[in-house]
Amino acid sequence: MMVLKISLVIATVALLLSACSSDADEPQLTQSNPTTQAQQTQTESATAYVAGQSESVQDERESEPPAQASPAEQAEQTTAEASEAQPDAVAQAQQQAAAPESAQPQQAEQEQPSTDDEPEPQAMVGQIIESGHRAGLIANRHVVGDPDAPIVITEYSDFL
Amino acid sequence: MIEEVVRSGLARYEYRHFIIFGAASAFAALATECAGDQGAWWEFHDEYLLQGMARTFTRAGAIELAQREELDVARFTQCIDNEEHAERILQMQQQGIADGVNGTPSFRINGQPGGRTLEAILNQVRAAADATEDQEGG
Repeated sequence: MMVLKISLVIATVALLLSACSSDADEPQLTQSNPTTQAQQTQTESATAYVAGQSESVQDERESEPPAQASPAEQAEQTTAEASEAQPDAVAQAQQQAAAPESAQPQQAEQEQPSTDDEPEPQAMVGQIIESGHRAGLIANRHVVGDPDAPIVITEYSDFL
Repeated sequence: MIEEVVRSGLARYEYRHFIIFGAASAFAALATECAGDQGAWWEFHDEYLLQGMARTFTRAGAIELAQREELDVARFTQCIDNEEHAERILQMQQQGIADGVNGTPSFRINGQPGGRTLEAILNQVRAAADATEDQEGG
């Protein structure tokens, strides 16, 4: 976040300097730097998110959705906050460089679903009970049988 | 008998914790849920409920049972020590209260209060099946 802010400050200064300059090409090069850094930050966040998701899925397949979504959302929020905090000049610079930039966030987004390629965690859904009087029945933790069965028999009980 | 109804695909059976006997019972529920993380929910359920092995209601007993079931004991121990499924058990308890449960065991058939005997429960299941067929037919 600090890197991003520093980059934005540098970008602002560079843009102001460039506005005073007669050379039209140079500001674009300078302007692209903070944007690239911002994208790198976002990409790193996305990568960390993928790694974190992988671990959380393996630990608990019923893990809470916010845990999976929040890092990505944080990354998006970070980008959004950066955009809001940027001076207009920097925002304009980003718009000028929008064409090459637009591809990279998409790449980051495309990297996230790569967890689909990873081996699935040990599935507890639809596990067949191997022994006892329920042998052969499909169970998902405390639920036995077809999840789409029209009748649900619920037992509330205590082990003692 | 209930298993046969489930096996036929007519019904599914859900066990929900409803703790009325205090900490030991709550711990057994917790250990069962932790075993469920590793696919041994019903093994623990049967051990606790059907065999009545009170010694396994302790932490040491639960770990011993986890070893016997060849679970990842470190993961299991971490789960019970951190009470990772306390919220799940609490939700079941709250659902039971909402369903009007005031003792155990207590049955519900499609959310409606079930009978106390197996025969009564099976009759309710048959009636629910007939009602389902009527709805599908009509």
